[in-house]
Amino acid sequence: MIEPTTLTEQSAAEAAQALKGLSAAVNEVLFGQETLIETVILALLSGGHLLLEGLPGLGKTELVRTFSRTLDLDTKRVQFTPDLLPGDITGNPMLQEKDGQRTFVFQEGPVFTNLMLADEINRASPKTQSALLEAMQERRVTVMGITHDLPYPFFVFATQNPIELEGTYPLPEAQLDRFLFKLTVLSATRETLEKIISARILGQEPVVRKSMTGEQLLRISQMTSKVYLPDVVKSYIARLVHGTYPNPDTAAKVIKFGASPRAAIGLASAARARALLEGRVHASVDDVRAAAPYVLGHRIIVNYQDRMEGVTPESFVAKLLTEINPEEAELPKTLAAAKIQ
Amino acid sequence: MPSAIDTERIWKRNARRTAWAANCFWWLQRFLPFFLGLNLASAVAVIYARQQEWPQDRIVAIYAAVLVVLALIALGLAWRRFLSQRDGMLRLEQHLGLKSALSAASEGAIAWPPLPEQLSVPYQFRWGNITTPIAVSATLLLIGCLIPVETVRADVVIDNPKQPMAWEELEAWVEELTEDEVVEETALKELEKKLDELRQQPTETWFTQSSLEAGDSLRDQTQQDLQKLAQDMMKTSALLDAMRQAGDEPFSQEAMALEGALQKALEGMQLGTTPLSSEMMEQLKKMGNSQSCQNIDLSKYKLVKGTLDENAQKLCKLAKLNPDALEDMILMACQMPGNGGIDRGPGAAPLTASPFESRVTPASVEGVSNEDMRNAALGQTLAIQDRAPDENEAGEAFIIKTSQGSDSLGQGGDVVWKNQLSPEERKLLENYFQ
Repeated sequence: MIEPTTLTEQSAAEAAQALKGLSAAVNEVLFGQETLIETVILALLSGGHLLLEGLPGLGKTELVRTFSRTLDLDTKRVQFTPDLLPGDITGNPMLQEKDGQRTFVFQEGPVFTNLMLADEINRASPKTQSALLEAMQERRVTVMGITHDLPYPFFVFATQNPIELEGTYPLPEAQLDRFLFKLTVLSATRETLEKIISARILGQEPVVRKSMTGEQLLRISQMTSKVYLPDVVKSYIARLVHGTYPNPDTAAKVIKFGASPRAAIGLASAARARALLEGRVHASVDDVRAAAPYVLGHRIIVNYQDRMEGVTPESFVAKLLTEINPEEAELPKTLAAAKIQ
Repeated sequence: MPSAIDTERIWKRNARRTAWAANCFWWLQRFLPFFLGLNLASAVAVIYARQQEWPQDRIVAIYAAVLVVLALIALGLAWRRFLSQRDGMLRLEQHLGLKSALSAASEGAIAWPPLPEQLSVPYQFRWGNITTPIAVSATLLLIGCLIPVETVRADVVIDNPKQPMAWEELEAWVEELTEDEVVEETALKELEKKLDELRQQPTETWFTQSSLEAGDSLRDQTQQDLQKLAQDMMKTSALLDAMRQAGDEPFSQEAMALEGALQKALEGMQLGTTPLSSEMMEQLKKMGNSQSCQNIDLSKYKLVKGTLDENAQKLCKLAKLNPDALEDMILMACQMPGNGGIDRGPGAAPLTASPFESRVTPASVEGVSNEDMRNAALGQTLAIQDRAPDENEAGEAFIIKTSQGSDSLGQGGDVVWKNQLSPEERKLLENYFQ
């Protein structure tokens, strides 16, 4: 177990420097995904799980593999298919004969790793998806009444394809809520594609520079929890999450179900992580605003009618951020609002 | 470099200043509509006040009081939205891009961030929202103060407001009569009292129809009274002359008639609404009978008579009495009988028989009368007779033949005395005396 590290402005600056190195190392392999990489780092610092959504071939799997290699973490990949069984993930008790006696020996599944890549998670049956619930929330699995702790750290990076929906099982809300972020991987720009063509050769694995050890990541992750959250930031997070609750008088009139308290906790953790990423020892409302779309987007359900009219969770969160200001007290019309930089 | 304590103090001061500025503008936002409304009403009030010539200091005081009340109301309404120092600090750190550093520092989590070179209030003032109502208000007030206004009541009018013509005439009469001491003082005071009652009405109603009618009525009534008094005085004067000339026969029928007429005139002067002054009345009463009139000293008689004539002349002039009517009055007083009229009174007809010797001179007129009708000739009494009209013959009796020969019906209910006999009466009387 790594000893807790005290957080000072100097240590925060050192952590920020190290995280910048991590980001740079990943950026050497993945081009044009700076924001995505930064958000993944935030998830790693917060100890949250990640759901990546995007078309095939956009580098989702590559992103996870690159992180695992640059952090020198143990990584296992599971390709989710409809016939995948829960035991295929958690592990199965195997009957073994030793010294003339037959006993069940637990054979760990792919979940026993630091970074698990659940590829196309929505193709597995709900039963198999649910096998991940305990692992993701409590970081342990129970097989045949015996609980097995997962290694520390443990992250689930899941991917899903938004277009090939035939034969898929959409993730239930309970499982979606356990993902800290849901990130959409966008197509590369022309300049990015040119870079990729120049740097990559088909069939050759890119060389990934190790920038940080898992131990260092854990230390920095512990520092994240010590980042100070001012009252105004707490208040802002609470108002944002509360603003997702259905309300006919606000932007939340399009909402069927709002974000859970777990979303508020995740948003606070993400804000802390972002503050540390910038070398600060205190979070700000800007950190909250930056993380809110990734934290809240997949946790709210829009009404069917409004969904048909084109309202998406992402558009709702954007509207929510304009409706709810960090300054709770509004200004008179004789004054222009304070400029937010 | 300021110390940490100074830095904290400066940051907090700026946070307070930020909140204070926002609160001021909150108050302004609430107050300006009231201010605009007040000035709109004030502009109208100022115009009205200028018309009414109200004191300016009172207007300013009322305006200031209302302004203070509205300011307090606006303060109460804006209070709930006022920003605290924490809100101000949040605005400040957002404006400066300090990423909640001030909030964290105020909670003791980190050190206060270094002060920037220039600290400004994080607002952009929308001066148009503020200056427009103020400019409109000032314009409204200026319009109210400068627009030409005709005053309803000037200062001169307030002290001595223009009054109806009839009142002025009455006032002049009272003043002149008081000075001349012709009329009894109590009567003049009574007249003044009536005049004051008219004046006590609101000034705006002085020239209304009813007020003018009341003033005219009082003036006409007073004028008639004064004319009556003047007539009585002239009549008295003439009667005194006649009594003085009547000679030493105080009990003669002529003297008695004159004395009766004088008493009647004196009584008229005393009992009218504008009676003669008591002093003059006493002097006249002393000469009220033939004997005393004859016995009074000539100089004193002339003095009294002169005063009476003088006052009568003044009164005639004052009451606008026609001089022709005055001469007729004198003549009527001297030639009492034979003048006709319902008020000619008793008196001897000229050159009638009398038990007393008369002094018939070419300059005098002698009245002759005979009240004993028992021996009168038939033609003397048959020609004149007073009687009430018979109701039974009203339909015919009241038909009056006019000179043009047209008939006119008498008015119903009128009581008239006819100076002619009906054919039936005349026939009856002729038969009686045959």
